[in-house]
Amino acid sequence: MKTYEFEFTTEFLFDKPIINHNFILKCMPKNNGCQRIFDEKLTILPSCRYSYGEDSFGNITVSASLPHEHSAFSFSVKGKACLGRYKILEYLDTIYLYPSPKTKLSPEMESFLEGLKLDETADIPWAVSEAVADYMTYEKGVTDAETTAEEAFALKKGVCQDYAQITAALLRKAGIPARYAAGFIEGDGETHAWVEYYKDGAWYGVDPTNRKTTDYGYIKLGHGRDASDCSVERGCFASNMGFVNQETNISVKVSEIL
Amino acid sequence: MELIREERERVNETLDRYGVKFSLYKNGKFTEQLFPFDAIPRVIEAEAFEKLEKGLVQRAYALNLFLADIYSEKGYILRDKVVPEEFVYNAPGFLPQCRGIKPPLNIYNRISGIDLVEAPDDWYILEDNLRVPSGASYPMIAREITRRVSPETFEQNRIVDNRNYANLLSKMFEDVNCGGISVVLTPGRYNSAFFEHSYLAEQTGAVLAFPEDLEVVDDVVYLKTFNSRHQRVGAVYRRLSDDYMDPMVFVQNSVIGVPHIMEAYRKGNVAIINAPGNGAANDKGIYYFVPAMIKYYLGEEPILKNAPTYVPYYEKDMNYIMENIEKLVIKDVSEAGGYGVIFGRDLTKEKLAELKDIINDNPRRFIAQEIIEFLDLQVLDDDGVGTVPRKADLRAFVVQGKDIKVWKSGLTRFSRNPDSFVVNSSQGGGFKDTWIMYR
Repeated sequence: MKTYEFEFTTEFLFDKPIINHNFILKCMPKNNGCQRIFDEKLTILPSCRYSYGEDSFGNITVSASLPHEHSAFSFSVKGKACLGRYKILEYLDTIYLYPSPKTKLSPEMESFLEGLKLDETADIPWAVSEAVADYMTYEKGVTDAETTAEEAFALKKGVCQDYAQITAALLRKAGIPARYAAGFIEGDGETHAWVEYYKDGAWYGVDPTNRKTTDYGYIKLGHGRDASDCSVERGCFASNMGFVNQETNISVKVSEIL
Repeated sequence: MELIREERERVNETLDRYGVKFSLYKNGKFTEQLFPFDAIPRVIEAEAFEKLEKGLVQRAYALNLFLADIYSEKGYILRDKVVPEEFVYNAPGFLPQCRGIKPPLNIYNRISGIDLVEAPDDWYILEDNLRVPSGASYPMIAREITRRVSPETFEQNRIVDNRNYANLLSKMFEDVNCGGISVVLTPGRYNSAFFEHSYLAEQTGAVLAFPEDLEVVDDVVYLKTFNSRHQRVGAVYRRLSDDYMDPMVFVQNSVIGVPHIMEAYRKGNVAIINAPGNGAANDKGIYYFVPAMIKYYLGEEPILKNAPTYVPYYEKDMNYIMENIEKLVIKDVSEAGGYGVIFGRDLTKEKLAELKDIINDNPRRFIAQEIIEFLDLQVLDDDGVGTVPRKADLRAFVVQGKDIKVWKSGLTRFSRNPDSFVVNSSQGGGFKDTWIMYR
């Protein structure tokens, strides 16, 4: 068991004032069989009233509106997480066996999976994760939050979100329930994404981007069928001054408390 | 009846003046057209309608149990493999974002529009519309006008009054209301059924609201008013599709949605009519399983028949389709409004072979049905003197609040083209009033 301190901040800067800003955040890590969260604090600026909820995938939601004019917006979550070995005991929800809008398989992906010649005895999640890591090249800026598994696979490039969505899509096709997970890993940087797969009554994880299993040091924010089920932030707004450009700054700091 | 025929011109003129329009969106152009009214009503004898009523209640009730089941954690019908899981979880209308939400009274399809046709032997169900079934206002207003034009007809015949539809609705609004007023939410004036939205709001006493009129504060929906004293909303009869309801949950760039309304709904602070996610039971692939659902949940035999349907997912059905394709009608499960309907007999040999290949490659995408030679109804010809036979269907409306009621009328739609079996209003057909009549 290890304890970590985390701080996660996302800041949006708009080049024109915006109004009628509505947003939903899935930025609060939740307790589960292998992670315990404490000393948690959420700060939203400009400050506003918000309400907590839980979505259909089991993620904590924060819903709020900022009707008045503002040109910057940020939210930040601080806290401590006590992590055990990554293993989440749960009943199987079979929905994670089926493709979602962003994890549909292209014929190329199907033949890629066939080409792996997986047999029953192999550690299929690990084998698929490794195959995706071999096939893909990590590159920022070629894909975005809306990119589907199919599109990223065709590009052969992408970031952790793409790696995770492709791996989840392939695992489901191989008959293994898989879900997309979002969260943090130790160090300074951005949010991270990996894949959970179901085996013998529990969810375990693989991280194709880092070629690792997620046994230790992964703080989970949320999960779903694909990235859009657990987007950390989703919002819409209006402006009286035409098209708005926005700049987004994300910072994540996770360090072990010794 | 003769009297009404003579007054045809006046009736259609009045309809025009009332703005009874149906908009068509075709080839990128938006045209508003009169939904042509045919003065000869469809008459269904009260006794015959009673049987339909029983069957419709049974069907709507079972469909609701199905929706409640698949959106709960349980999913008994899936676990028992009565409906294959992949049919539900892959259905385009199935919304995983709605799982675990319990709507008020646990009712999903508060308004069901069930399409039937009458064949020489019996009635058959063609489709269940559980999302936003439209069209009830047409027979309502047609009745109102014909009563005015020819009161004698209604004195001399025992025709069941159909002007109570608004009461059925407003009673149901009350039953499910979570505190506050009821509103009819319209996406706007350019929607094909805007006339109906405003008419139903007026008739039910609900407020007609545009998306920008509603806002959610602390998980409660409010109607904004000019003096900024907001009114709490307890029930939203929304006339926009699930995808556009809430940009926080569904299509993110929807500008006609109400942000956070799903959160208010999830927390039990507002009723959304019909429940989001009903498309799962509406799916043409799920239709096949409705008789099985009735047996599963109610332990009863279905009173109303489905059209004989084949689902290529099952090998036996696939073989049948491959051998009999020229006498079947093939439907694309993801299309609606009379689009994506192909009659095998209309295709050339090459096209048939092509279609077979497509079905083989996408067994989950299509269903096939026997063509039902349904009865013609007489429709006035263009001069209004003689009549011509046309194919027609019936959309029956079932309303579920604390009780479950069938509206004793319905929308009869007919095709304008003599050879066509497609009667959808989006395909340019017309409509008739439906009279339930005692002998």
